[in-house]
Amino acid sequence: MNSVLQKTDKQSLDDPHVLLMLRFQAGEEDAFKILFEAYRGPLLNFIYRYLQDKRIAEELTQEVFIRVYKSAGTYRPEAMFSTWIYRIATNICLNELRTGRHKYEVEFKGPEDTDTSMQYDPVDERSRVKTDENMVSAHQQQLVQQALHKLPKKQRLALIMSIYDQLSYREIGQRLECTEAAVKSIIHRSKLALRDLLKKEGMVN
Amino acid sequence: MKLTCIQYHRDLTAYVDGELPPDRAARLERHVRSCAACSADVKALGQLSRLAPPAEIEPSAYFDRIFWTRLAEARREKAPSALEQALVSTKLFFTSPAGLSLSVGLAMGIFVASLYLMRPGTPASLPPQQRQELMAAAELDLYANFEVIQNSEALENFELIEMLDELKQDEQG
Repeated sequence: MNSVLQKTDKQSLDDPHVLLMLRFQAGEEDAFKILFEAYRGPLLNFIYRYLQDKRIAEELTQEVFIRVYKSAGTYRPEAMFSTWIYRIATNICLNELRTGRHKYEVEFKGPEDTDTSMQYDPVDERSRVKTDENMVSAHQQQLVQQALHKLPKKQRLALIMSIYDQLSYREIGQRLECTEAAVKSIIHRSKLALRDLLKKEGMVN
Repeated sequence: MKLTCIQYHRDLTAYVDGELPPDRAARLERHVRSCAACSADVKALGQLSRLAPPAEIEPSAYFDRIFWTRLAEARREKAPSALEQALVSTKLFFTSPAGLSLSVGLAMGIFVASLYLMRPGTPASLPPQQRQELMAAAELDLYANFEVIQNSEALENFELIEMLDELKQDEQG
């Protein structure tokens, strides 16, 4: 492990998840289980936000962990563990869309078609108000997803990282493996495109 | 859009996202205060930044079980054999610049050799039987003297023997 540490970014050694990965590299299977537990949910949601298909998101999340497991032998702690594992997830997502293994369609549903559990309940007036808000929110959510799916795949990923994950341009650059200046340009173009799409739906001024 | 707006516009998103250096952010703020179009864009981009994320999902009940099964299968995948590794190395060599040069050289060599062998008057253009004879003669270092052999005394004697045979048959007849 010493030879590995010599090639290491010393800052990354402050990251407990990097240390867990190094323990796994040294043969501790339990360290991998801890990483799996810690990142399973966040990675699943990251991929789901991008692909909007739970079954495929689960399959790809598992694929990420299989790659992590297989790459233990060659792992070099050159960045935060989260940056590294999300980079793997990002590449898997981009590759998934490139190969076109699955078809993704975000179906449009009007407020009247949304989940029946959120429909008007005459018994409880307070719940009716809340339900209306939920219906509008669910409808808007679908409009946003539809608009996002009209954007090029890299723009969509950058936007999801910026809007939903609240990542800085630097962090987005690390995950997409491009410069901050490139991220700034991608985000600017994609947000203007998203604004124009949502303007047509009356969601944005 | 005014010229001044174009200059500032590419910074609007970074400004809304808090990614602009303080001095540039201050300059842009001064412009936005006096420009209705840029002010409206800042407002719209701000609305995008406040979009609520989709509801979080939980892994399915069978997610972990499927994962550990898949991982076990991935671990069982056999390591490549020595022959497979050698084939991969060979493939890698022939796709490298040196390997490609060698491949092209070999191909050109084969092409030139085939042109030489197929040219008129060479063994390849002769009927199969004659070609076989010439090849056999060449192997015996006699190819150079093949014409001489054809006209040798032995062959003349052979014709003489044939003529004598015919004369004997005539006498008997």
